[in-house]
Amino acid sequence: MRIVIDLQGAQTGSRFRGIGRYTTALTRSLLRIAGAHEVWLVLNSDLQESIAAIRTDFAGLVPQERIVLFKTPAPVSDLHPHFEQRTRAAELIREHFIAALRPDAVLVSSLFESYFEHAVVSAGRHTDPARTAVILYDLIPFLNPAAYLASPLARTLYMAKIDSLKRAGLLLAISDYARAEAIDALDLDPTRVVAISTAVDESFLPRKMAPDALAMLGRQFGITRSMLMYAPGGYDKRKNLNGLISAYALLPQALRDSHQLVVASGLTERNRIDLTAHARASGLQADELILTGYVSDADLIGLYQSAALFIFPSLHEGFGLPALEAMACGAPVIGSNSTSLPEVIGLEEAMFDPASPPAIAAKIAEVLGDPAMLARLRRHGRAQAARFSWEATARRTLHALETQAARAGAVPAAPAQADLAAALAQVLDPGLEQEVLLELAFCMAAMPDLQRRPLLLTDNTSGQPVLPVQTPVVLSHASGVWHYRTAPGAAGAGTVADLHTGDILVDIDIAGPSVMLAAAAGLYGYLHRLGVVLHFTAGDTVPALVGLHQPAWTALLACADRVVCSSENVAEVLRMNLGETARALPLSVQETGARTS
Amino acid sequence: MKAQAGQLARTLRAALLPVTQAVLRRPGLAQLAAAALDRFPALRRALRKVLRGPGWRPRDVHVPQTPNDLSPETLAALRALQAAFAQQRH
Repeated sequence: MRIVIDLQGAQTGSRFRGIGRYTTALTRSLLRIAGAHEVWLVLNSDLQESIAAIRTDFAGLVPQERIVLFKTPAPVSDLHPHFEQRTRAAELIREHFIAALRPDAVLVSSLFESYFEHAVVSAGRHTDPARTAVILYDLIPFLNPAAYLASPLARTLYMAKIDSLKRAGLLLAISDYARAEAIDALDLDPTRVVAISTAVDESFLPRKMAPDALAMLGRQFGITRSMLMYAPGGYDKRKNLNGLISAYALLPQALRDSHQLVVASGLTERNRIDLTAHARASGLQADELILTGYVSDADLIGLYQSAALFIFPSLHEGFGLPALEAMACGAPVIGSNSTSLPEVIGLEEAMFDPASPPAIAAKIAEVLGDPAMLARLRRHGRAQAARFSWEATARRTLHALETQAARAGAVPAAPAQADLAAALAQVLDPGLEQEVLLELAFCMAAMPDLQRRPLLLTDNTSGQPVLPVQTPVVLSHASGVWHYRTAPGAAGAGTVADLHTGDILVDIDIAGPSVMLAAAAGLYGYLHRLGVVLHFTAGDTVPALVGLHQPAWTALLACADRVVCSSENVAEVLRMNLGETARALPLSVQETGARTS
Repeated sequence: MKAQAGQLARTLRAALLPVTQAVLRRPGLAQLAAAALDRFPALRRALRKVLRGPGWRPRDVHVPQTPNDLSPETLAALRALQAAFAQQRH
């Protein structure tokens, strides 16, 4: 079975949040258990910043030539009406790109990414969505439109995503609750929605902090007493921060004197002002509420490990990962009895009604006053956290994809280019500017072709003789774009060459003037992101020029898969002058000359 | 302040676009302007950003800029697109 995973959830701003972590962790586990299944990762080439990191992250788990990039007529954005046509065109191009890989199953890590500029996600706008599985995190905005979809634009965009969600052949819900909620709210066929659950990262472990580390953490955040901790995973009204502050204010004075309320979350200045005002109005002293702001994973783990009690009073969650993280770190956890949280916490006596601050306060006081219960919560938390693992989630996902692929039947042939052109002509203004037309043509030419064999090309800009197995190409800037074209004397001389993922380009002379100009214009960065294997050569002139070109070469060789040096001296000069870049590079020496041949 | 600056940029853009288009319609001037801007890519980028509005960014180095110098694959795609647009018009 060929599984294609759209990894945009790990490319946009989401890569710094839960969706990005979910996408990366699930994909990694899927690759580990894939066995005979062939997994391809699809990235958006216009989300450039994340591509190199993703290639590095998945190196060794998936061949680099199976990490492929689709190109869109950027800029695209759902948020700006000016780009509406480009965005619709980009959706067609992306779906066509994925269909060209002839997948048995397509896994979309996040459907709601196109709120971020340049992300493009849809299902069933151009190709049959029967094989498309979408991860469903929650339907909170759909269920609470007054709070989340007040503006007409937000509502239109979100409902378009809901339409895509409904068209997808399979939804993979992150909890049993999210599954049931989706079936109910969207009136879905229950066989099309499968709960795959989630898990915490392996770094969340129960470990007793060293006293000096604990003291440092305390100093960092102003913690001087035992901690009642809440890590809401972001600020939102449904996170019920005010409810927790009100509950803290209702605790007996002795408990307040011995415990501080610590909220570990990124907050805007506005959030901070509002929370502080509510705390003051509730009668809290300044040192009773600690708002840490954003905390690193290491600090978060330290806080979980040293919390006297972790409280999760959220009113609505799709899963509620922080509660599971805290349990995995050995913290006693109590939480809301609403939505998905009973499934996550899994213990009746640890639950409370989140809408009632007195009920929250009563549960906190009950736990803190009962050492046996505290110990029971710690034991239960560790056992409960162990029930969730990424491997189990990946196995459920794989099983669901296999079932879906079997249901969908034989994989159709790759779609024809003419079909995409016709679909584009329907959504685009006929008076399109030529530059947009050219960009669209370029996007279409970048479609994957499973029959195409990778090319071995040699940079022959300097005109040296080449081996017959290599296709000689030369750098050119003749039409205002840096690209390679077939070298004079070779078949098809002068033709522009589009390089594709998996092609190998050797003999790129780092000291060549054209190479340096093309590098400055970003050509090698683009080819590197695309997955073209780049072999550079460093000749005898390098030691004399290194002082002049050190910054340019440092940037250029960050794109290199290999550097062949003409002597050990040249290699040493690169190591000495290019620092980290050169140390991370596979440098080799070919005494007979620096050329790869 | 930010909203005012945005409003000013939109007004400037609205005013500049027809003026620029009118000037460039004069014979030879478009070619002259293009040749001049080719020599100053930073100015070209800045000007296009003003004219095209928020979100515009310079095109990637690898995207072809003339229909007369395309790879065979891109040329085939361009022809398919042109044919599809022609079909759509009929």
